[in-house]
Formats: sequence, C-alpha cells, structure tokens
Amino acid sequence: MNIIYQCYGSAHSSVTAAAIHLGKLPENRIPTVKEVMNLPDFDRSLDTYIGTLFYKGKDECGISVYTLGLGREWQVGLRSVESLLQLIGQDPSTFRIVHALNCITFTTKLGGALSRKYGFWWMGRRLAAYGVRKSYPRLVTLVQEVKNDLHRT
Amino acid sequence: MNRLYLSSDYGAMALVAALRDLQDEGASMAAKIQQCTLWKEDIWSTPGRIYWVGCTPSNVSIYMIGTMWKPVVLERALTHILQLAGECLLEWEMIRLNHGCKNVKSWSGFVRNYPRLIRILSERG
Repeated sequence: MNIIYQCYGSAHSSVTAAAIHLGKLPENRIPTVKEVMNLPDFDRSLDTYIGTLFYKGKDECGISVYTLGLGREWQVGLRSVESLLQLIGQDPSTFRIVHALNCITFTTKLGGALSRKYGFWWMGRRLAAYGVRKSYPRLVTLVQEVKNDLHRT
Repeated sequence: MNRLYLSSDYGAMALVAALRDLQDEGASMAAKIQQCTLWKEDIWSTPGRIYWVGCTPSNVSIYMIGTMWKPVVLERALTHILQLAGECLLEWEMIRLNHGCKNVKSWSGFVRNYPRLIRILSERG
C-alpha cells in the first residue's frame, strides 16, 4: 500500500501532511514555526522537481508514504496517474493519492512563492511555516481521515 | 513495448504524432485524425487520460495524452509511478512534444485553427 500526498510543488502542504502521517509533527497540538521549519524537506523542493515522487518513510502500519507535486494542472496529473494505473492493470487499492493543497491558506502559498519563485527564502520560508500553523487543524483532519480509511479497509 | 506521446495541449498534437508513428497505409493523416476523434469523442476534452491509438507493425503499442501544462512534469510523474508499480521502465518510451495545438478541443476546432496543418496532413497522406 502506498499513500501519496499531492500538492503543487511537493514543498509545503504535502510535506507537512506526510510529516503528520509519519509522526514527525504532532497531531494533538499546533507545532511552532521552528518545528515546521526544522522539517528537512519543508520549502526545499525546486520547480525542477515538480512531478518527482519523494519517498518519506513507512508509517506504523508499514504503509509507504510519498509526496508528489503536480504543478498547476494537478487535476490533469491525477487523471493521468489513475489512467496509467488502470492501463497497466495495477490494483487501484494499492495506491491512494491525497490532494493536500486545499488544506493550506494563502499565507503559505505566498510564502512559498516568495521563497521558491523569487528567492526570498528567509522571509518566504517563515511566512510559509506561519501559514502552515494557521491551516494545521485542517491538515491533521486530512491525515486522520486517511488513516481512518486505511484502518477500515 | 509501449510508446506514449505527450503534448502540452488537450492532446491534438500527441494524436497527430501517434498516428504518424503508426505508419499504416490507407486514408490520409487528416482523415485518420478525424476518424479517431469520432471513435473517441472525448479524446480532446479529457486531458490527462491516456488513450491507446494503435499498434505498429513492430508490435509497439502507441498511446497519447494531452497534459495541458509542461509535459515534462507528467513524464516525470508517470515514470515514477511506473517504477513504484513495479513496471519495467525499458518497456516504456515517453516522447515529449515541443509543440501543441493550443485551445483545440475538437476536430472542427482543429480544422478552424490549423487549416495549413490540415492541408499538409491531407496532402502527405
């Protein structure tokens, strides 16, 4: 079984969701800006890595967790991945792609753009981490829903 | 062996390239494209879906996909997914096309926006 958290560039929302899933960030409280920024992959992925699947680790049930950025046309990207899995006859239940981009706020998107696109990483990264704190409950809910679904199946 | 053509549009250019690759005799390229759009009505309205176009005499399955954005992103993502699914990457060839037919979602749109290309494809057969 593989869980793929998907967002725009595999730098913020998917990375945070994967970190929550793997227990690297707490589920019962909102982490500090420093804790978020201390994630080794937070706000690090470059535009040239959009489309790259990043392995993040295995959770307590042995499920592999990945992150994937699909860029602007993410719906098209998701459709193509589903289409390919169907084409090669892969059991769809072995892959679960979770869209995490909807969980984050404009602040994180702005911070991400400042950092990744315009190179103001010092300010952008902090702003993105601050935004993640704001949207953290939504990210936790997303991960919990995924985990609950996994336990049901 | 599988070959997938990726174009940055709704899939029009990928279909042209895929049909050219098939190299089968008979109707002109333009007629083949029209035929394809009739058989698979949603071929240019569902970007991201992979369509089987045909099989070459050397037994290569030809597929096409419209990516709407940078084809390199989907090429990368699909390659990783194939690898994760345990498929042999040597069995898959992905060809990114540099040009796309922007805003073409139907055969009539193709004819309207690219009359010269249609003429060339009709003449060359």
